[in-house]
Amino acid sequence: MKLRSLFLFALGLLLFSYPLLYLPPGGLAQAVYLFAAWGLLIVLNRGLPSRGNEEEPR
Amino acid sequence: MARILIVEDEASIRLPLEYILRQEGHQVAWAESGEEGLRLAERLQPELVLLDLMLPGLDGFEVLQQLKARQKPPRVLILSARGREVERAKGLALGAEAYLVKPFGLEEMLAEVRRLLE
Amino acid sequence: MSLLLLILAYLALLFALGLWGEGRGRLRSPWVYTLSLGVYATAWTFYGSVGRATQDGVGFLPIYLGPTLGLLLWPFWLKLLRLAKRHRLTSWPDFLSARYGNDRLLGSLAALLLILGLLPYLALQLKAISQSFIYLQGSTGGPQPQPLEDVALYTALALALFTVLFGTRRLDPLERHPGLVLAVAFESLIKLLAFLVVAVFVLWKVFQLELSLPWETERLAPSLEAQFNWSMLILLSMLAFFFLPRQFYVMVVENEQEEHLRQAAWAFPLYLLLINLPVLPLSLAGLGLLPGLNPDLFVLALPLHLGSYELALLAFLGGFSAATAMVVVEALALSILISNTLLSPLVLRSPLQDPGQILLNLRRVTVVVLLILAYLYFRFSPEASLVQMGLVSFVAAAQLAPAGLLGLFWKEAGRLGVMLGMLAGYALWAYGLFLPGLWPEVFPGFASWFPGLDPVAQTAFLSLGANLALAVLGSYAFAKSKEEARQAQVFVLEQAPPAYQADWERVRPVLGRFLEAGVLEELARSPEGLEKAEALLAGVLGPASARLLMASVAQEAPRVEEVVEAVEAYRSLKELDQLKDEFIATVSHELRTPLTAIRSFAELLHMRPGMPEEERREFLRLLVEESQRLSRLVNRVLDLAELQAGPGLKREPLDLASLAQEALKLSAPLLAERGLGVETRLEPAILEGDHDRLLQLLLNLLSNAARHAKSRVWVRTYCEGGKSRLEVEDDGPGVPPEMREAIFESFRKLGKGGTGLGLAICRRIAQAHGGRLWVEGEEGARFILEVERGTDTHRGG
Repeated sequence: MKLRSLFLFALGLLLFSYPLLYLPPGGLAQAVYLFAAWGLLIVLNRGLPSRGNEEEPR
Repeated sequence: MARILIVEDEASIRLPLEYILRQEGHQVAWAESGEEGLRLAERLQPELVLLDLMLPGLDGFEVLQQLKARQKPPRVLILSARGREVERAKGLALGAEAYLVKPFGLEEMLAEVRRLLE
Repeated sequence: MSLLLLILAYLALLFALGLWGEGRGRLRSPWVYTLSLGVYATAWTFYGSVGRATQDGVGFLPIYLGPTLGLLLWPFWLKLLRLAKRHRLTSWPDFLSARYGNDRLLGSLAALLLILGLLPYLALQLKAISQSFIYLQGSTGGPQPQPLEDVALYTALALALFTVLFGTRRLDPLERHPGLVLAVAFESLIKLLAFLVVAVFVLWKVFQLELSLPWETERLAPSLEAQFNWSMLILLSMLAFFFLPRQFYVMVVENEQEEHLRQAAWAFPLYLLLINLPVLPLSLAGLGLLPGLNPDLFVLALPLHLGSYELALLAFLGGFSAATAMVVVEALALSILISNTLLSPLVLRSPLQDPGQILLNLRRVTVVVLLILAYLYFRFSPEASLVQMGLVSFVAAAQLAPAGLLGLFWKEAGRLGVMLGMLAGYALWAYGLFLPGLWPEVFPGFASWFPGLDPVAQTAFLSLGANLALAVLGSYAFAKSKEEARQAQVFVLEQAPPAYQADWERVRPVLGRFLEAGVLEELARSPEGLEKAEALLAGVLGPASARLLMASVAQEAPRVEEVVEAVEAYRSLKELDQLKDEFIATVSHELRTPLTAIRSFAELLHMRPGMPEEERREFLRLLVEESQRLSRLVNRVLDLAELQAGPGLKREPLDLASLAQEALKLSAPLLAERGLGVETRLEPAILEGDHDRLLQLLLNLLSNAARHAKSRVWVRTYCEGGKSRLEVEDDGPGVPPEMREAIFESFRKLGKGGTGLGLAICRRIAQAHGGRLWVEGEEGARFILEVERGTDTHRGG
């Protein structure tokens, strides 16, 4: 769990900083890119629901 | 039928409970620690929780309190190896509906479960 | 006038909601929690972001990307939740003073600096309310109203009242206020909806009327400076999100279940994303349709310009809710902070009658004073944009981050280091941002140092860098007190908090009466020495007396000697009884477990005669297993009881080497069954003792080793310094240092299997022979029995 979150954090850091400056000119392109990256991180952070044991007999 | 959660760390006690309750047609889930129990209760929204008081980690009374603090608190049947009056009173005061002292009989337990699910 | 009515109606609604929620203390869902975190988005978001976007495009976004990144690390923040719950921490300064050796000075310092640092932020909210109110009233650009006619003042007072009513009703040790949280969550919803609705309306109008907009916005330049500013702002807001007092309050203090944070970790960034969607469209529309207007007012002005007063009112309400939620929660968090770190030590030390009530009243006064101060700051500070004012406070709050984060995750972090770091950080912050904000002519800040850099980013970098560097260096440079070292363990390793704090020099002579000198030295060096001392004393005096003794020693009471006398006189009478009672209680509990299982299995087989053969066989097998467990337990209990009764120990000359051989022969089948190799080095080691008992001890140690070994068991006997020794070692997982005494207590198990009595019996046997039994070893466990060496000539009876 902690490893996964560290990985996501590193990914987020990368997405939010580096490629931004090298997009084609225009502030709107930057905005679209940022919102897309943001949404991606939210989805990844939500992840899968945790696994349960309610149907295993023992 | 009803959704029932058993929170008990001793497999040998849990197993017969689980078996007989399933035979009665209930949906049964179990947890081995208080933390796990609370997590499952959050997810499964059981109608009834059979709760041992001596659990590894979170204490049974603590679990009881947190269960009862939920928005739709489940009914709680305490299974305790300590029959002392103080413990029983404390359990009931914290909102548990019933209290069984180990060793209890399965019929006795089933009767309590039926009563609580009515 | 309708505007005033709207404000009043909205406030009344909030009060009603607060009251309703207060009654339903349990109305807590993860969604309420997530929304309450939305108190992060203030009037700054609502009005300021649009203003900022007109200047540098996406430059408003780092403030929201930072928290998103920080929440990706949610598993790490769970630790903070746990610690705060366990230690009843209500703010970061609380945390700091507890973590760094219960140091009031550090907490007070952090609290004072936070209060100073957050005034601009509170002022910002009042300014936004005032600005938007004046604008809607139609007197744009006019002079500021007289204080008595200023709606911001009345709003400040109304909010103070609200905070006092819902935040300071009673002194709750957990500081939870469900009504208030519900109101805040509701406000988060209102501001989001208002913002979205206004944006949709504006865009719809723009397309309907085919107005032309500049469909382009400023872009972030690909320069090193821009990259630096951008990254620093992300880092800064990530830290501020976790270190602002109101965020600690809603995220940590009001957290009911850890699961809620897990949800908020994705749901709250989603909230932030949604509330930022309208920013760019609104700023573009504002630039195109209302050139020349203060861009901080676009959100209000656009609906008006496009002909809808109602939507302008809705926009006003959104901004108002953003501002009020922030003011209420921040004021409450700060007042708790002030009363807990600054006022309560004074009140509790004074001989006043009802300190609880006084604290509550002081807290109320604090809230009012804070809001009046914020109002004054807003009236008398020079013009600044909303975002600028907020960022100043962000940098201030972030100064707690080095001390807080190091304190959470780094055991070596020390009090002096983090205090120095914090002071340096705040000094640089004051010089670079706070003072230039008040007197720009006198204090130029760092602007002239690197002209290309944003002053906020620049100051954040310098102050946080200095802060962190000093904290780390100082932690290495200065020695830590014992108290600090212990608290570091409690916080970083999450060990149970020690029950006692005492000076070893005072405790030593008292404990010396009960414990050996060597043991005492060892305890004095260990961080939980006093807890271990109590455990050992409990073996001597029984738990209750041990507690009494330790408590009286540790509480710096002058009557230590008296207590010792009393205890010593008392113990011979009471102890035995009490020990016996306790033992019986534990035994009966341990017996009930297998008994319950046996009864259940038997009844099950009886009640369900038609059950499938396979299941029946499985249940029978378990039944037999539990019966064996029960009889094992009963045998052990009888053994122990017999040993405790005392007499009946034979004294005959024996050789540990030959005893070991005998035991190994008896255990051979068990060891072979597990495929374990045995290595022996058996030198003669004679003693006087009871053959059967010592054999029992050895068998127990061997079966214990067999249970835990991976592949190999060593048995050695030898003499050393007038003592005879026997060692049984295995290559299993070993015993962690903190468990090395506990495993010898009755019913202490290191995992499953075993009755929990075997080692207790072994130790009794060793003690009955006047010897010792203990465990050591880094890898694997090495049990050592040491007994006084016997002589061949001496023959005892």
